[in-house]
Amino acid sequence: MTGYVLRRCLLMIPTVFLISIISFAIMQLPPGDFLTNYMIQLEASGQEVDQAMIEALRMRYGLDRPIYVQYFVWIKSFLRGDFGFSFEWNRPVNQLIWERLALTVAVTAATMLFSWVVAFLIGVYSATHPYSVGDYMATFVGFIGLATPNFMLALVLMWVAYSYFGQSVGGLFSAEFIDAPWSWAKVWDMLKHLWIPVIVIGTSGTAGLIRTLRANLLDELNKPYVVTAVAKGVPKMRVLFKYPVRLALIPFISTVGWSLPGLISGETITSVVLSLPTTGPLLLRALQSQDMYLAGSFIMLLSILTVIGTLISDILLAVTDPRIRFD
Amino acid sequence: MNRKRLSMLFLVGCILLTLVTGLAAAAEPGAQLNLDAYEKLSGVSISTFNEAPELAELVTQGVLPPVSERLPVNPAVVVPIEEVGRYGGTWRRYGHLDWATYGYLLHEPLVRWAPDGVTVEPNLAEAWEASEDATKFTFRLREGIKWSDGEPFTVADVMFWYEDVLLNKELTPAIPTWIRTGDNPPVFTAVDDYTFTVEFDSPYALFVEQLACSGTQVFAPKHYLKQFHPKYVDEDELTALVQEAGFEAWYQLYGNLTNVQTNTDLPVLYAWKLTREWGAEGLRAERNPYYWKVDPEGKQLPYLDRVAVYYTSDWEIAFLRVIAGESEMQAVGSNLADYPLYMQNRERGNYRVYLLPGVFPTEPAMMFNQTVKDPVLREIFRDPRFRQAMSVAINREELNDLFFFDLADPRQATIPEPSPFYEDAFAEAYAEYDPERAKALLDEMGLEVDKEGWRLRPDGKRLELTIEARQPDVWVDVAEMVEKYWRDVGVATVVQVRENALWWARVDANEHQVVTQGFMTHPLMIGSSSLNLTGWPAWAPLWAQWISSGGATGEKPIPEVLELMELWEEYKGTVDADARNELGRKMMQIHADNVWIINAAGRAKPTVAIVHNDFRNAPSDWLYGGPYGMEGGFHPEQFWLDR
Repeated sequence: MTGYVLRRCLLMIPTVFLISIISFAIMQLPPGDFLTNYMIQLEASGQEVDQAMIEALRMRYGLDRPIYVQYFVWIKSFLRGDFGFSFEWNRPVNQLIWERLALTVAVTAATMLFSWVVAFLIGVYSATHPYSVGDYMATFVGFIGLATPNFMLALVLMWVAYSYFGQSVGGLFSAEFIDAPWSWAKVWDMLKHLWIPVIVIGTSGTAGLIRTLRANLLDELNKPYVVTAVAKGVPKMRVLFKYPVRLALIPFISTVGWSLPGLISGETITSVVLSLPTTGPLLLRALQSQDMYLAGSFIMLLSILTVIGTLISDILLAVTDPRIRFD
Repeated sequence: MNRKRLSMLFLVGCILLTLVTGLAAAAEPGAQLNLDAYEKLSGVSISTFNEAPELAELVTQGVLPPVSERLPVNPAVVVPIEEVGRYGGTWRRYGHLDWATYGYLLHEPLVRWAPDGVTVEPNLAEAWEASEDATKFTFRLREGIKWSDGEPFTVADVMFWYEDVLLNKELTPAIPTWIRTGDNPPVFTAVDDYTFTVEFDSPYALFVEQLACSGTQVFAPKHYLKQFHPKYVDEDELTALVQEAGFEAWYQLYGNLTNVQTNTDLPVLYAWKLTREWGAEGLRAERNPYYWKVDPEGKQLPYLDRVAVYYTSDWEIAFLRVIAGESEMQAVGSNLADYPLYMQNRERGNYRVYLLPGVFPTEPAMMFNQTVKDPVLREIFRDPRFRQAMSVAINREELNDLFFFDLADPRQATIPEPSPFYEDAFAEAYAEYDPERAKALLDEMGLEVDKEGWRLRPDGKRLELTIEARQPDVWVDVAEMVEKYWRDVGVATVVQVRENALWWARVDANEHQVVTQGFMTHPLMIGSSSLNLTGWPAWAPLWAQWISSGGATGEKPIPEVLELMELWEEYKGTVDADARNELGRKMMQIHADNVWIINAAGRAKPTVAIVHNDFRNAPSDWLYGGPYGMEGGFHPEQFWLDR
């Protein structure tokens, strides 16, 4: 086991290195650079663009150097934990990600908790009462949730809130709390706003989990060991939770590691629509404007977390599932 | 006797009239005058100055010096656009670009544009003088202006910018076009603490006007920025600072610190100063206690306490907040396509909608590449009859109805009003919809029609055109209609939508045939314009190259364009306004005859400004655009909230 983990950790180094090259190369693929985009925006808003000013900026941002030099400068400081400067924000990338991280983790964690609890309850109910009215309803809602894009749901909610309640939805705080220091009132205000993204983002994940849990549990429920246990008079609930549910949970465990990158990427499109101060919109915007160091460092962080998350999932799986062997 | 009395009456009447007109001139809404000039014109003397209660409090605490010491000797008096206001309130704005949402409020050049958009008024400089040949300019700064940290603003700040920023190769690798004639920068000379001269090696007739435009600051806070400049700091010390901040070179740190949206320590001369840097929750700014303008009652401006900009991931979400009534005023980021939505929500959002005229002469222009690679196409494109035909084939009224709510003004590409050399004839040249005339012109050129009704090129191939359209989306819509109009007269046209950066790359490489393009032009042709090939050269990239490189690269233009460029050179150096305007008129005549730039719809659509009903003193019809300093040119310091 220890050898396996060590081997996996060593393999992570070249993987991440390769990812860094690929992500940097992909960012260079679209024509132009950050300054081309900047010029277009300036111009669209009716501003004069002076070529000399653009030259000065190109030199200041180091965009006049060959791409491989840019790559090495970036990766060198990345290894030191300095993610570089964002062109668009004029601020260090570390700061930008950091100031959004707490709220991103809060939103993602709340969403995960929501979808797991709901999915677990409904999944178990559906599997134990298959083809009942309740099961059909849960399945129906689940499929709708799975099929509706999150951003669509967000837009509908926003429209309803605006046209029927005259209220602009979006953000995580009311105007009077944005600048206020943290207090219980501010936390309460955040919770009042949090439910919308949680439901919007949570529904699709919930639906998927319900279906997986239901299918797995249904398979297990008909197996002879369950029949035997019931026949021997073990109470129904006890049988259910002691054996088949534990097995049916394996897909949960195998995907838990994948949510690690989600903790910092947030649900990008939904966050954009709902105007959440999370990291997702930051990444999207960085990619659109070719804000190289911000986008690059972001993608690197996500990749590292994905690699670590996969490892965690594998380890957890090995621990919980006795069928897995290391040979 | 009677006669004498009459003439006396007449005389008195004349005096009264001058007095009244004098007063009227002084009271022109939105004008800005020096205090002494204002007092002379209005006959009202401003002896005491007032300040915001917040600041008065700080004065009693001894934190701030009294208002009379903070104001300059001869402050600028702003005549309010609607009325004298009250102190207080926060101005909320939304968006994802800090330099637009906040930066566009900051516009304090040496001189500024008067409300008419073509004359200049004193601003940081209280007076100026140009030599007769327009090579030497003398500026007199307002004595006693202070930076937002209380340090005096003097000629030292101008000389610092000149010697250590403009002439520093690392900060300014290339001298910007607006501060040079020919290849050389001018010579700045300090006369005394408040007077300096600028000397060019050849005439620069509109230099003062150029300084009124945005992006042409000729000063920087020396006392603060010299701490980060190698000329003033020990090298090791500076290297330590640079590394600590995570940069590689000093000019990167310096450039970062001059950013008004992220450096809260940077001293400014604006009405507000930054208190919280741009980040996840936007940015905040508060009143600059040393602001150097007053209202006609002697109250120190600005009226508004604070500016709060909130981050939204894009403009659409920003305007969702704005139309919910959560902004006091915002123009930047509005979209004319959403005009019905803005109008629909006026009552609920408690705001009014203003349409501000812009400085884009076209919406959008259709440009035939005169230097296109295909020699046969080149010959066709260069025939004026072809461009005239393509222009009259376009139904501008219909485009205006379809896409611009009848708000664009259908016309040909020319200098926009209020230019002194604007003429209706230029705007009407080949702007009428007349497909029959288009066909006749094409016939006259000898472009034959094949069996299916398509025009043929002289080499027998079908004449096929590709319009490369780019965002904004409405340009793509317009291009698709133009495709239909041109097909109607037998020219096989297709539209290709290109992503912005790719579009630029292709135009740069001279790969295009026809493109949609918008461009800016100041009514006095200050700054770049496509009309004189100093910018947006998509209609002749190789000629523009030839001109800017002095004939070293590119291709030599045709005689008409060479004449245009000679007129332009003469225009820049002509001091006499009438003679200069005549040159401008001649240039526009050449354009009207040749229609190299075909305007598809009309003069640029207006910019929509959404103004809360409690928000006062916002202009409803001022020119909005880069040269005018965007919202910053609207005297944001005299905006106030009636709440």
